[in-house]
Amino acid sequence: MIRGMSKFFVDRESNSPFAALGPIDLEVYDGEFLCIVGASGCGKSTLLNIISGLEKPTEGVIVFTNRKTKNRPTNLVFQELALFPWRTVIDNVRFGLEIRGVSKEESIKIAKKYIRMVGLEGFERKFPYELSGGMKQRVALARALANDPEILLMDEPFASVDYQTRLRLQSEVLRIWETTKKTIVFVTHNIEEAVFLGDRVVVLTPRPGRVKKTIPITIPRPRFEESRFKEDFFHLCGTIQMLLKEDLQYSEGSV
Amino acid sequence: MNRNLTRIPSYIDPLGSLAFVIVVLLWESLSTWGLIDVKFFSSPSAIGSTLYLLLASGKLWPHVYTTLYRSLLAFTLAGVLGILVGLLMALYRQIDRQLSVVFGVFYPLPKVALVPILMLWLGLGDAPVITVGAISALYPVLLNMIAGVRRIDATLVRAAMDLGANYSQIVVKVIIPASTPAILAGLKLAIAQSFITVVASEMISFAPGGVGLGWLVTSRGYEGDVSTVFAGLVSLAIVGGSLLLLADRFEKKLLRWRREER
Repeated sequence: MIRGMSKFFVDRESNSPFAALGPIDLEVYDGEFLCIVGASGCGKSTLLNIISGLEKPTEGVIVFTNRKTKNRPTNLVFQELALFPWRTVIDNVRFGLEIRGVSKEESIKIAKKYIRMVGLEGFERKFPYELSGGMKQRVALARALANDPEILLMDEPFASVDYQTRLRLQSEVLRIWETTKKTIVFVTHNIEEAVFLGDRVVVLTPRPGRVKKTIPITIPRPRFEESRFKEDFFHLCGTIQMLLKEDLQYSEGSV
Repeated sequence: MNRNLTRIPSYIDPLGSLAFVIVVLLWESLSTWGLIDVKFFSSPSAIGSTLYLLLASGKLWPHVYTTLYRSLLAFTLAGVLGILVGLLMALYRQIDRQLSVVFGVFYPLPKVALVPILMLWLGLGDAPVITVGAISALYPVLLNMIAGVRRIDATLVRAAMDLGANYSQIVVKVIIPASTPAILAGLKLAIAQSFITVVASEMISFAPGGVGLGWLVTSRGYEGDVSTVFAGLVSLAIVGGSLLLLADRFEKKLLRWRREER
């Protein structure tokens, strides 16, 4: 649960603070797939960083209710992936477990389970440079999942892969979400992606990023490729597109 | 780019050594025909037989062995110290501020110039030579270590934090492995540097009855024993080349995770 959270940065030139984000009130429900869309520079990534605890909010609080373990409640799949290039696939996936002091045999067992889940069986001993973009995405996903977070945060994870790979990865994330029953907060600027994946789509305003509107996505689950061609799908995409466009015109007018 | 500079010289490659063979043959012919003065320039065959005699009589080994262990000891000291101090300087601003002044002041100083004063303080023999070798080899390790840590992709550190790593785990599991390419580049320069400085120091700390290849070359040079001087030079080239070859092998083995840059 996010309450009254906002983030200010200090402008380097004028040395005065400016609002990058918020104030934002946002509740993430247990087990839901929440997508956040917004124009670039609206603070989407900052929001995820704050939820993950990597950055501190200037004001407000993030409250995690119903905590199940003492571990960090979230794990983040970075936009840049941030795989450790000196570690093999399995050692990347094992990283969080190793940090927590899980025995080697146990961590290998867990890592293998998630490597299988993301469809990378047989690539355990490869180094990141030997993998394609889509495969790296899968490793980053498996690494976050292996830490068993209560909330999985994803920061535009598929921004850098080609269209076909992107569609496949989206379907796989849905499948993984359905099997692991994780709560997922997924940031993207791609409206179709958000509608295809999400239970709800939060539309942010441009800087400072505030919640403009939250759209419930009524498309039935499980969703398949065919779901993309339903009238509902186009309708929802259109609604979100219009919401984003309003702000775009506004901000363009002000430039 | 950097790789090419530190690559093993091409005399290992049979075709690449063609020019070398021609020079040797020319040199041999010129001395046989009396076109150059053998007293000053010797000849490949004379150098070869001198080298063989030195080896067979066991007189060369103490020199090779001495120069080798001095270089390796200087290198080890520089390596350990450079990595530790470099890491501390890269991680702690205050340490960096204090020490960079000290290292900055000594940086432009030719390190062999310290030999005379160190001889006064530490006496003849190993101590001043190893010390100077270590000081000169310290710089490449230190500078590469610092640059390596500073160049680390900040996202990797954030990823480790996100996965639950604390400060010391980040240092051990992210910062050090991420800077291994830089560390190894520094160590490779350091092994060449320690060898060069040790030999130069042996030449300066010249005293009768000494040991070391540097000493051999200088002392025989004073006596006009050109063939032995050349035999010493050949030994130096072989020892130095072997050290670099070893360093290269070692680096390749440790950096398997890196894409081949060509």
